[in-house]
Amino acid sequence: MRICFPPECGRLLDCPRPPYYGHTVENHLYQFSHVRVRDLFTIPDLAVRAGVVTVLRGPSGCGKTSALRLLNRMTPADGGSILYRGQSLESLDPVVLRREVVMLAQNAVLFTDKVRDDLLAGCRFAEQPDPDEKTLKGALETVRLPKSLEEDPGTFSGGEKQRLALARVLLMEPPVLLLDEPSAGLDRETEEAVFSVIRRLREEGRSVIVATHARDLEQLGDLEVLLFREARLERQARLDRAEPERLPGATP
Amino acid sequence: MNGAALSGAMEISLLRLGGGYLLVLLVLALAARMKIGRTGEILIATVRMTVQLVVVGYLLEFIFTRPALWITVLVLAVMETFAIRNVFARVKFPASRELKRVIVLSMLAGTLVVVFAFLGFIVGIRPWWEPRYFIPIAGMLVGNSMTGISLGFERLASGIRENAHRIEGALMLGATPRTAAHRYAREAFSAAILPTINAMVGMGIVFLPGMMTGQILSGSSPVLAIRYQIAIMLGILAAVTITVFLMTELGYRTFFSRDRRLILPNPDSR
Repeated sequence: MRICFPPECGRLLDCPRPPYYGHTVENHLYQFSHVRVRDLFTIPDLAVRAGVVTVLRGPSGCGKTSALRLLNRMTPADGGSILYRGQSLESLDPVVLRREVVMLAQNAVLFTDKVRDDLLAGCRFAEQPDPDEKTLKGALETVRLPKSLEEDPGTFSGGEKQRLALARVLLMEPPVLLLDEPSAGLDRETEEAVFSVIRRLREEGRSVIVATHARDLEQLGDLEVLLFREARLERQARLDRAEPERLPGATP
Repeated sequence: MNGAALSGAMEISLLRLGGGYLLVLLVLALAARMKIGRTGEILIATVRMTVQLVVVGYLLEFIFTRPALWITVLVLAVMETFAIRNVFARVKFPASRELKRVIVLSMLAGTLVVVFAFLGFIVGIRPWWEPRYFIPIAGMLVGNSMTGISLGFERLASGIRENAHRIEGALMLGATPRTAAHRYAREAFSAAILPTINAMVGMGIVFLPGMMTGQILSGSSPVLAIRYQIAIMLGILAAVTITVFLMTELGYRTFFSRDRRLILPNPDSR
């Protein structure tokens, strides 16, 4: 048990000793101070903890996507400072950072015309070794996509493409995953795939940050919630436990 | 007219040339019948063509009779400037300042290297700036490079624009800008050199190239004329390839910021 730093947070951390950050008093993945993004929003003072699921919530157009893109340097901040694991974000090589902080865009992108190559695309972009056949099939199972590795994903539905994209990032085993509205407007299967991916990453001690305008993720329980309020991103609350009857699968 | 090279050409008298303009009347009649309403444009085009050629004819005559290094260099500078401005004007996409700089650099490097290699080495004229050779050959190399670079620029800009979401998707998975976007540079390169390759394939069968035709009309032996034609085709191929290679290879990088984000001029992507 350690005291979270900085002191204004004052929380006792029950740290599961995740493998991806040095276990110091600074259990913070990101720390923001006086950050501004164009005229869109500000983040006066905020910390994002490592090893947990954080939800960014707010109405459409409030800047959720831009806030996520700040975290992997796809959008520049126009002032203030952002620390990633205690280091200034701007001092980090963006490509190296993005191999650790992997982001899934809202609209799934296909890179090739074969499920296998599309699954491998992430690892190849990040210059990781190709996972083996069994791992690829396992990833498809995790995201509930019963397709052959030889199929052309061009014919897939929106939900199936999104599940393929989810499997692709899962294979990269990222320490931090950014998800932008991962199941918005898609089918029930995709929503469940998103839940199972998030749950699995959390069990492995990884950090997940999800932007969503819905409350659908609450059934996962144990979430940090950050809220956009009047063009400011603030900490809202911690949801500790899900009500069991609202877990997917528990309902008939 | 001076010069032995023109001795074999049949001179067209001014009276007969005037007769040529009767053909324009026929064109106007046909255009009127089709009701395309381009009478003014046809007339203006005819007048422009005539005036421009008369001016350039006397200008070249003047330059050739008083060869001077500075005049040759000036003409080359005017050609390059015109070609580069034409590239900027022809393309529908807004280009960043960096991309414009890349276009200027590629155009100059590609054409100058080949102009000097061609005149100094293949034709081997002395002095190297002899305007009778330098100006027409540089003109052909610059003109073809201009067409190639316009095409390459257009393909590169549209390729990156249309695939912006895919490029960003790759960057978010940790791809370098090269991995994410080099494909569009390759496609642009390929598309831009293709017309030159096609022209070489059809040469002599589908059409007789202009330079060779001109030499034959002015009395050169066809066997000599093809030597020049072969040499200039190789020169054009090299100039277009070097120009387009530099433009695409350096150009795609201008779409990325220092922190490896995709930037599109006229930000409408997000």
